[in-house]
Amino acid sequence: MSQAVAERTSGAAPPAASTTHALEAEHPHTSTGVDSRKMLMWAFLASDCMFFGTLIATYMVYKQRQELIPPVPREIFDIPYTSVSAFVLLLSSVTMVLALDAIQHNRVARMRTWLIATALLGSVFLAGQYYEFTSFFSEGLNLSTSLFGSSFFLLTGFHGTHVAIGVFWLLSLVVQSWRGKITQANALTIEIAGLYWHFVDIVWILIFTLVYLIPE
Amino acid sequence: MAVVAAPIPHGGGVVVPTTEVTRSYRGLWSWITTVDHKRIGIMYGVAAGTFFLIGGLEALVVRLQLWVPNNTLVSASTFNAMFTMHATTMIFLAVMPLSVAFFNFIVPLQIGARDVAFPRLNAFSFWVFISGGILLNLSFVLGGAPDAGWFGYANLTSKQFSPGPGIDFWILGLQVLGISSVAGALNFLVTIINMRAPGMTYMRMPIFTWMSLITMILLVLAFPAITIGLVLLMFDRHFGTNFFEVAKGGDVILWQNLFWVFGHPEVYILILPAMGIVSEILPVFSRKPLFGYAVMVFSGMAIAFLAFGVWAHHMFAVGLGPLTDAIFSATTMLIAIPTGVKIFNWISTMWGGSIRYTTAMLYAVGFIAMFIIGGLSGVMHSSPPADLQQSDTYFVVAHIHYVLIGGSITALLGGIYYWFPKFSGRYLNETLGKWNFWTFFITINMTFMPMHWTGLLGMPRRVYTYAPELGVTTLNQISTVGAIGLAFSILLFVVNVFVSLRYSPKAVADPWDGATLEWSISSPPPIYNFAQVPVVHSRDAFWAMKYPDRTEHGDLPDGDGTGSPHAHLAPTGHTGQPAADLVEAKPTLIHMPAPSYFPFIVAMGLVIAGSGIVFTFALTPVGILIMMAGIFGWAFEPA
Amino acid sequence: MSTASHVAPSHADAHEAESHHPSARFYLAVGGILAVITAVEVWIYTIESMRPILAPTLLVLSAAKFTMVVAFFMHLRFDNRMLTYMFAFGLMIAAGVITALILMFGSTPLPQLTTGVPSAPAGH
Repeated sequence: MSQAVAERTSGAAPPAASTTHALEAEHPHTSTGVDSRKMLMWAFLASDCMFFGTLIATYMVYKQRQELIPPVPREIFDIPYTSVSAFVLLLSSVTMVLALDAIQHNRVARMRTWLIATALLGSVFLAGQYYEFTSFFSEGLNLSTSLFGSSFFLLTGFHGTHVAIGVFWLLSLVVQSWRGKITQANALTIEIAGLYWHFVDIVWILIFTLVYLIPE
Repeated sequence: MAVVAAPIPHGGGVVVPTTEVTRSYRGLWSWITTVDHKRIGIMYGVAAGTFFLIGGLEALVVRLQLWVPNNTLVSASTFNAMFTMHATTMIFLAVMPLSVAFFNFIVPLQIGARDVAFPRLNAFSFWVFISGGILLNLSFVLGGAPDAGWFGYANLTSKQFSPGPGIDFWILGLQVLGISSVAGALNFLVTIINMRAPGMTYMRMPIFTWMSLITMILLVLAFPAITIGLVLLMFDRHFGTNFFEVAKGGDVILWQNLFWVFGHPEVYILILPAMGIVSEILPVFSRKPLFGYAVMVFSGMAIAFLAFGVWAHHMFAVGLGPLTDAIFSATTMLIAIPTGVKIFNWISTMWGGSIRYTTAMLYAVGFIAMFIIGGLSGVMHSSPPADLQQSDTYFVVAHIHYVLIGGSITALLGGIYYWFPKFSGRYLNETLGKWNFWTFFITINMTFMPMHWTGLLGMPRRVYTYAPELGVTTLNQISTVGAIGLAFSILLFVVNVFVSLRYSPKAVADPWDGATLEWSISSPPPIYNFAQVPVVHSRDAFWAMKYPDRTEHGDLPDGDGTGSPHAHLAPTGHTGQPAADLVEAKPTLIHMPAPSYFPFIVAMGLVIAGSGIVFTFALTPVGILIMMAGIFGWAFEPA
Repeated sequence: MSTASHVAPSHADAHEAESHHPSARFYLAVGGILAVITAVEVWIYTIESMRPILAPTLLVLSAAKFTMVVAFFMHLRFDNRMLTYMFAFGLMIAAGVITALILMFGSTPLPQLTTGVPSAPAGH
């Protein structure tokens, strides 16, 4: 009997289906047909829209009051530099989706390459942000200089934290793939990480436009 | 604990790792590692009940201080801490988690699921909640409790005006509770959408499940606003930012906006589960299906949508300008429509029904009456000129207590009477219950009705005393006597719980002739809930299984219009015996999720990291390391 | 392992659904378009005569980028409708709150800053 249980569970539950596998044993299909973990990620992203929305609102509301204290945004922003950062993050979205495409075609090595590339591009973006922050500090803009300083650093810092978590996540996926844990059957693991990564990218699309390009 | 010892229905078809489960179901460690939604629900309930008593004691201090004019029972600063902690405790540590207890215990049963979508995430939510609640209350002995009011208006919360650690405790507590709430809400959102039994379409879901789903949407989208607001406040207090520093151009009104962008949906987070509970109790004890089910669902959705568009009505006194005032006044009046629709539907549900006045039913009917009063004074606030007169007076205090005690708490108590057999396998005593209800009903009105007058006579809220010339002494004394009576009534309830757990008869599966699936399984349910996953063919699924010959309106065959509350306590043939539909499917093997201590570790790491803000930031990296260790264990655990 | 075959169909279904996903070439094409739009954004930022309509143009362009990433890279275009509803509702509420806050604060006069701040109008 216990062997039957073991068979049942080993057959029904792919290793990565951690929390739901017991239930999936009974419900191979969820009510909607969408995997619960993927739905969880989408619901979280909806929530994250509000997180960033509140921060962006704070920045925009204070934007009209920040002109008073130098350095002001128009003077301090280095648009060519930030454009490169935006391109880097955009490129990382492309490599991420290529990683997913690779694992969906059961090409683990290729997927790993794209994952590493994505993590690298993310790290380049973070390094760029670190350099940007230090150069702003040296020009006299810090958290307490002005409302612009406070709201700019909080918004971009919150986004940078998201990127850092994403890089960490991607690297842990790379490690898992070395241990043979990522296969075509659980490509969903990559897809979910990808959803998060792309979301971080689209937030930067908005920040790049609203904060950097639209000057007043 | 007896759950597993109970005979497994339907012979050898069901295989649960019985020995393992039995071992894991005993002792403290089993509670720490549990991922069973029913046990987590019970823990939420017990914790919320305890915090409710603490919050109640704080309210008593407030009421005793207001017993006579110029009273010196407590100091002004103690008074500030008392009303702040009373409100924070009642909202975040009592009413919300009590609702969460119902989500946990009832929702998976109502949708015919074996557990939630993410059992370990569920445990994580609980451990974060309980440690957040404990930390918040530790502030009393660790340097002073928060004392800036439950909506902590800037810049009263700045380092300049609140130098002590109280506000930091408040920030920490609310952040931690927010994480718990959002994690729990995401979990239940997915559970309700994805774990429904075969055949249970959205429009066949029990109404409590529907209201829970809408509450989850509100939680997921409302909490980020206060989380960010609190982050801004934390940076202002500790890292030198200027968000609410008026001297540096910061705008304190921004805090009010961020707080109420969260705060108004929060009001519906507190009341929608209560509405769902009442909408379950009324049909069962009227023996009629809920009147206008679809309208109830859509009005719930309308409330959720509008909830995000009314927040500034909390801020009319700021002087937002005529246009802003007019828009938010209009949306506020608009949201009264779906709310009013619900009230008419509840009354119509009872109309012509065979009503049985059990304690649960009394609470449900009491809810309607109290919520109408609270709702009406709420609509009064939608008019900016009227609101200017009422802002920050006891009139507003009366309103919020009519909707939160007369509304939420009344319905939640009714829900406890209704589902207690399912929670514990015992009935709550009906005689004590009736005493409990009537003392509760009379004393809440005695406490809060006079506040309408004290408010309109000009007594401001949150001021530790008043002058005799104001002429509100007698009204205040009535309120205080009522509050003491209310404490007595709650004591009756607590006694009832303990007495009933010990002496009440064992409950049958379906004591009230219920309409929903949770009544189709034993009381308390087995660990795996459903031996066979039920197949649903209609709304009121369990009624449909029991009474295939219902009338076209869905009315039940007559046979119990006697009004005797216990008419259905006697087994009537469907107790513990699942209807034919339930055994349609072939018996399968059941493998339940294994207990795990990683949610507990991650929760502790998170709280330690967060508590850096009140103690020393050196704790933060330590907490993050613990958290990461826990996450890795969690991710690679062969659950 | 006879039971394993019992669950195999669900995997097969999943793969069938996956096969609706676009090809790698398509992803590269989308990435190329996104890069071009970004270049256009930066380019029109530098054109002086675009100043009057810069903000709306940039908003439209970034909304297009946003939509393309969500629809194609995040597969919302090909996925269950429920996911679209969830995300769209959150996005809509967030956008509404941002807009309302900007309008509310834009309509109230700025508080006069006196202490510790250089007097504003003179500076410009």
